[in-house]
Amino acid sequence: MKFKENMKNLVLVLLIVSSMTLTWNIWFSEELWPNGYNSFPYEENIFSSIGRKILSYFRTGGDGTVFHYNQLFYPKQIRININGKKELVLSRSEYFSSINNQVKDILEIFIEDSTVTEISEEELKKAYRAASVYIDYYDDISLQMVGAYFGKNIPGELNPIKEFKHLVFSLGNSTQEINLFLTDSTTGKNYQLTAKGDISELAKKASSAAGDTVTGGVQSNNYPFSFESNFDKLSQETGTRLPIDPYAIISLVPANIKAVEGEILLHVGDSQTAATLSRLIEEFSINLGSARRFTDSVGAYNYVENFATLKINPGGLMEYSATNAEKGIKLDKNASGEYDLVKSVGDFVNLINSIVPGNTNTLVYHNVSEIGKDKYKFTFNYLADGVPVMIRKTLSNGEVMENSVEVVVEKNNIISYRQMFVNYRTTDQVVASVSTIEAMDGFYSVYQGAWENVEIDDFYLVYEYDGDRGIVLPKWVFNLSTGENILFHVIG
Amino acid sequence: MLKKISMLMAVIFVVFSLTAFAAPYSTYGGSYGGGLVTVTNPASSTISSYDAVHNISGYAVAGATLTLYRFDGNGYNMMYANGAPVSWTVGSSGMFVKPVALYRGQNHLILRADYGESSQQYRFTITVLSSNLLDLINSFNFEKAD
Repeated sequence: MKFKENMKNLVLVLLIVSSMTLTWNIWFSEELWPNGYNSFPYEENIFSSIGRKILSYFRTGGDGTVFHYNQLFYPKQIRININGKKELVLSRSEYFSSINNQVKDILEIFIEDSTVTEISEEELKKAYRAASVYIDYYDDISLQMVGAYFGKNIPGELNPIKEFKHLVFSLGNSTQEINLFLTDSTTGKNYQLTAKGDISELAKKASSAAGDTVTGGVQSNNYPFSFESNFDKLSQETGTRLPIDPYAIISLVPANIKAVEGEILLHVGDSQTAATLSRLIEEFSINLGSARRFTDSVGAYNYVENFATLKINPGGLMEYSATNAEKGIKLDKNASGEYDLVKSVGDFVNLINSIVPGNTNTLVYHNVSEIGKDKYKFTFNYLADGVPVMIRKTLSNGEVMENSVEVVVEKNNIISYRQMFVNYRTTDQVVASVSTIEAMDGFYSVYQGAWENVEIDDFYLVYEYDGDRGIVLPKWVFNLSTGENILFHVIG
Repeated sequence: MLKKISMLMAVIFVVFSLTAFAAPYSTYGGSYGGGLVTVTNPASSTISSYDAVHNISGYAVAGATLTLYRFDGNGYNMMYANGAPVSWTVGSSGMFVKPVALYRGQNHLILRADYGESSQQYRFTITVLSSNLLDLINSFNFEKAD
């Protein structure tokens, strides 16, 4: 009798264990079902949702994927004016990062405590002409965002300053005081900020960087500002030429533009990618057990859940989309300000970027734009030899992808994520060697726009990756005050 | 007959040579002409600067050849840098910026523009100062260079 009772208990235990094992397998993505079979066709798999929550809890960038200062505030160029030498430090220089890190430390001092004085344009230009370190960014930088990076509120004295595009640190002799000059992009007013501190470390780095340039100990003046040539005062009367932003640098030294090759990092169909795909699918909270899988007519892998789709295209493009905000990838729910969101998205982008091996390019934040109520689009780009790589890829829905990473966030959830997994490798082949004046020649040979009330705000070099043809070409970008961007091929 | 052909060839060679090297080695030291070139830096015909390397800039007719001359005590002669004349052709933007190494003290310069049959000259003086007060005083002594 007792034996019979024991047997019944044993069978019962086995059944419970078996039931739990099978349930575990269904819930946590073991492939018990044929491809394409969806065990929960009408309702979201609540257990995958639990898994997603657990994943998002741990998705904090703790594995070295934290979005850092040099990705967020990446300068276009640094100009040094010291000991009669005016030199440009570009990203390929060993001094670029160390100067930018020094700038970070000094900015923190200014955010903590500084005095602000409004100054005239002439006083500002005087500071630009004097011994200084000039930092030039691609886009306007929000002071609020700089403060948030340091975890500090902007003190009341700095309230008049909202955004800036250039910073000028005066390299005076004082070891007690640092002077910073800038123009507020929103109002056009100029300011001098003074803080207690020592500029000597930055001066030392600037001196080393200037001493290592091709001119050696000889005085040089190869990087004047536009205002020094009075190019900011050009007008239609002077002969169909547009005025140039006074603080744009006119580089007289031809830049050697190297050829760049694009290497697709995410392929469909090989065994190496299978493991990578598995990680990506996991990070995008796609449940392989419940997702339908198919390969479409262009050879793209599609993973379709009820509320999200992940698609891996043969050209290295990955696309994720969620049907609505609640079903997307959850970011930090407390993220409220611009910095919090950029940081949150940046951490996630770094995490995804780290999964696909072989990328040697730096990924930097580009910008954010509001595209609807509580809906924002964040963009990021790779740098090839310090030059941003823009994308031109026509998507299946007719949209044109222009950045390496494009993320749409609605109500703190990622509802769309696109990334072009391509590594851009510079070769030793110089395809063009052009100065700013030659770039201007190129611009005026293609410009067909208006001449009145238009100014050239900025100009810089980019590489454009044609995702449809797989080629990388150097191009000039001219930003006009009308908001128009003129792109044209570099000829040199 | 052979002598005549040789002379004709020589004349043609000389004429074409003159066309190819429109800017003469030396030039008359005054400003003349207009419409070919406008100098924006220096902004006036007499300036002082602490920069030993000064950027001469402005705009000109696209395709014009610009040449810099410096007064060397005897007259305005073509400037040379690295063994070559400081002369260049303006591109389609018409804009130019040319860095020029100057002597400390007064530098009397001429920028000459040649375009087809036309030419224009603009004379200016740049005084390179040092922090030395004497240099500053000397900078006010603008002597006639032509």
